[in-house]
Order: sequence, then C-alpha cells, then structure tokens
Amino acid sequence: MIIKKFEHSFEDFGQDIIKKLNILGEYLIFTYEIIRHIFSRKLKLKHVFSQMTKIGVNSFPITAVTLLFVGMVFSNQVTHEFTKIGAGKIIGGIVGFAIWRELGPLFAGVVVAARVGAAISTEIGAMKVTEQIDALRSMAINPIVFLYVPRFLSLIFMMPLLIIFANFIGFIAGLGIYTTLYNGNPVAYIASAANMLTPLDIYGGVLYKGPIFGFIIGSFSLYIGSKTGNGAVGIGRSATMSVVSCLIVLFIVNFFLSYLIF
Amino acid sequence: MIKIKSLIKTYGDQTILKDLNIKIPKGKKTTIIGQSGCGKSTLLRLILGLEKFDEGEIWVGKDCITHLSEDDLNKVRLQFGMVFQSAALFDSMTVGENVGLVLKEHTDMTREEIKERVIEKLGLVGLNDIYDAYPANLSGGMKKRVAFARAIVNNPKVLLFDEPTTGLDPVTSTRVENLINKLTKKTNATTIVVTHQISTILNVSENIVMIHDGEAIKTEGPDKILKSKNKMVYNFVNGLIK
Ligand SMILES: Nc1ncnc2c1ncn2[C@@H]1O[C@H](COP(=O)(O)OP(=O)(O)OP(=O)(O)O)[C@@H](O)[C@H]1O
Ligand SMILES: [Mg+2]
Repeated sequence: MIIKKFEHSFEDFGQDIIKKLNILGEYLIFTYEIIRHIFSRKLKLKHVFSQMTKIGVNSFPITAVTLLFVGMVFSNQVTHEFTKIGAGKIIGGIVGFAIWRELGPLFAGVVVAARVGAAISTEIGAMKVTEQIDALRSMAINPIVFLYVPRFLSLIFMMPLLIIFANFIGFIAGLGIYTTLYNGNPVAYIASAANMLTPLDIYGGVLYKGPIFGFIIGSFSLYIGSKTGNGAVGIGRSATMSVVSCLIVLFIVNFFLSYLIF
Repeated sequence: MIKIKSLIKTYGDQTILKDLNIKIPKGKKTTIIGQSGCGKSTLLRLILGLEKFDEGEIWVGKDCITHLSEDDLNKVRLQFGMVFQSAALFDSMTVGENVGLVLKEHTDMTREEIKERVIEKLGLVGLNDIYDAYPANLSGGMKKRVAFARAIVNNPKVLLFDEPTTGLDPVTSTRVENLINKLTKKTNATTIVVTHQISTILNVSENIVMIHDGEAIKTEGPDKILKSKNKMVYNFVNGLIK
C-alpha cells in the first residue's frame, strides 16, 4: 500500500519536473526568437519609440512617488541611528550606497514589473484570445517583429533611464529628511556621498542591472502573455502570473548581480 | 484550387480531424458545415498555416503548404483574406489603420494611395465616415463588415469566412450574406464559408461540405440539402437529435 503510494507521488513529482522543464525550454526558445528578430529588416524604429514613450509615461510618475518614500524612510532610519553613535557625517554616503546600488534599481524594477509587465501580458493576452495575433499572422505579419521586439527593446532601453531617475529622486528625498527633520547640513550630505561613492557605484546599477531587469520583465511578460488561453479568466491569470514571476526572478537575479558587480 | 488530402489533426490525445479529404473548387463558394467543436475553425487555421497538422497534405493552387517554412507560408498567406469568427480587429488601431495595415506592410503604396483604397473597400461593405473610429465604438455587425473590408483590401484570390453571421440578428445576417455574394461575384475569389446557420447555408453556398466525426461528407447543393438523403446531413440541417 504505502509503497504504491510512494511510487505514485514519485511519478507525479517526475511529471511535474518534466512539465516545468518543458516550460523553461519553451521560454528559452521564445526569448531566443525575439532576440533573433531584433535585426529583422521589417522592424520599425517608430514602434520601438512609441513603446518607449508609453513605458515612460506609465512608469516615471509611480517611480517618483515610490522612490520619494523609499528614500525618505531609509534616510530617516539611518540618520536616527547613526547620529546617536556620532556617525552623522557619513549619512549622505550610506544613503547614496543603498540607493544607487540597490534600492533605486530594485524599486524601479518592481514598479515596471507591476505596471508595464502586467500591461504587456494583458495586452498580448487579450490579442491572443481575440484572435488578433492570428489575424496578424494571416496577413503575413510576424507578431514577433511587429509586437514583441518593440516592447522588449523599449524595456531594455527605458529601464536604465528609469533607474537614473529613481536614484536621483531617492537620494534627494534622503537629503530632504536629513536636513529638515534632523537639521543636517546639505553640503556635508553631498560631500560624504561624493567621497564614498565610486564611479562603479554610480553606473553599476544603471548600466548592468537596468538592461538585465528590462530583459527579464520583457521576456517574461511577453512569454506569459503569448501563452494566454481561456478567455477573460486567462487574461487575468496571465497578468498576475507575469507580475509574480517577474518579481521573484528580479529579486533573485538582483542578489547575484549585486554580488558580482560591487 | 484548394485540396485537402487525408488530413489528420490532433490536440493532445483528442483527434479532431481524421482522414479529411476536401476539394474546394476555384472561383466558387463552398460552405463547410458541422456541429460546434467539430473542427471547422481549426480547418481554416490549418489552411492558413497558422497551425501544424499531424499528417496529410494541403494544397493551395500549385503549392503544397505542408512543409513550408514561416517565410514561404507568408507568401501563400498573401493570397488569402480571412475574416475571423470574432472579427479580430486590432483594438489599438483605427478602422482605417486596420484595413490598410496589410498594404502598409507589404506594398510600396503611398499613404494617400492606401487611404484611397481603404475608403473604396469600406464603401464596398457599406461603411462610410468611420475611417477614424476605433473598433471598440462599433456594433458587432459593423465590426464584421470592417473585417470584410480588411480581408479584401489586397484583392486576395481566396476568401475565408469563419461564421460570418453567427451572433447577428436575422436582418443584419441577411445583409452580410448578400455582401458575401456581392464581394465574391465582384472579385471572383474562391470562397470558403464556415457556418452552422441555415440561412447562410441556403443563401451563400454553391457547394456544401459537412464535417462529421473528423471526416468530410459530400452533400447535395443548397436547393436540396434540407431534404438530404444522407441521414447525418438531414439531421444536422433540420436540427434533429439522432
Ligand atoms: N489550441 C487548442 N488546444 C486544444 N484543443 C483545441 C484547441 N483549439 C481547438 N481545440 C479543440 O478542437 C475542437 C475543434 O475546435 P474548433 O474551434 O475548430 O471547432 P468549430 O467547429 O470551429 O466549433 P464552433 O462552431 O463552436 O466554432 C474543439 O473540441 C476544441 O476544444
Ligand atoms: Mg469555430
């Protein structure tokens, strides 16, 4: 009896693994196909730019609000504790490290995953279930070139810009708290950041994390959108799945990137 | 014009089409009938190469599309105009952009030439002054007609209609049927209409094929089909449960 049961759960487990590997393989092929079509002659730069504006319009305001408060709470805690032990002079540097290396890129990624990733999955999913993707193909238009590549590329280009923006907002918000709530000297804040931060700290998050985060959000949300089935329910499920998987992968990849870069 | 030989199509362990053989004559209107879920839409998708099948051959004119690559399929697809079951208009584009897209992507026509052609085709399906409208603001019947205009805009040799009258009121339905007749007469296109609406079967067909259990059954023409000698066909068109 018990052995039989074990055998069964073993089988289920095996099948589960095979299913997951299948999905992974499909995702890799899908992403490879997108990359292969980046150089297609049919790709219109106009489509890439219009996606970039769309992503920008969608993301800059929320990124601003997010990083404003992230910068504020972080600076508040650090200033509070560090002034107690007489380390008030290095607060600008500490906030700068945290924002430029981690908080700016990561929270910008979270915002884009939630806002843009979900939007892409929903849009592509809706086009899939209402036969619009098939309609494109029936007109001899390749949806990879027409729909996927512009979204993918614009995320890769826009993510670094958003991170630069996020970093500035976060850093300035920290300065605001430091000077208003704790009567800190703004010159000291900036001087300590200028002293402690290396060039790598400034561009590492932007140039390395930015495009990679864009790549992750783009490829996952497009893949999940393109696999949508089951009508309206399926579209909702795709949006959720896209956000959840983008976030998890983003957090994991961020850890390893930080470890490698800094 | 289109020949389907021993076609087999499965989804997982479900066999949808088994040993399907159909000849679609050139320049005629063929309707494909059959119960919901028997694989009619699937057949149209296979003809367009939107999906792969398991075994058999599909010939479009002199091309066997069975083993064509996506690039070669695209050349064949440009001979087709397809109206999907759900109209499948692009939400993010205006009516004008929807209809003109295939010309913009595949011809050297100028913006003005495209616009002129689009307006001509919209006129042909009886739609004026909606060039700049978005699909979301159109009624179901209007969407269908925009989809017609989009399908005929590059003067294709083959027209495919997937349930063009399903979900429309009887009057609009008759209008759409007349429109199909008018368009095919004007263009001489080989036409396949998938439908299970009796009025459409009677008003449009010159040739009727029924799909049952994954195989094609040859039937009488529209004048005799209601009294068909084949039990399956008779039961289907008269709505009898066997
Ligand atoms: N992508 C798919 N995966 C699995 N099964 C599918 C898929 N597409 C269609 N099917 C199944 O294939 C069968 C035929 O579907 P199809 O849409 O061709 O039917 P139909 O004859 O057009 O029906 P209707 O008249 O309702 O439109 C159905 O049983 C459907 O569930
Ligand atoms: Mg159908």
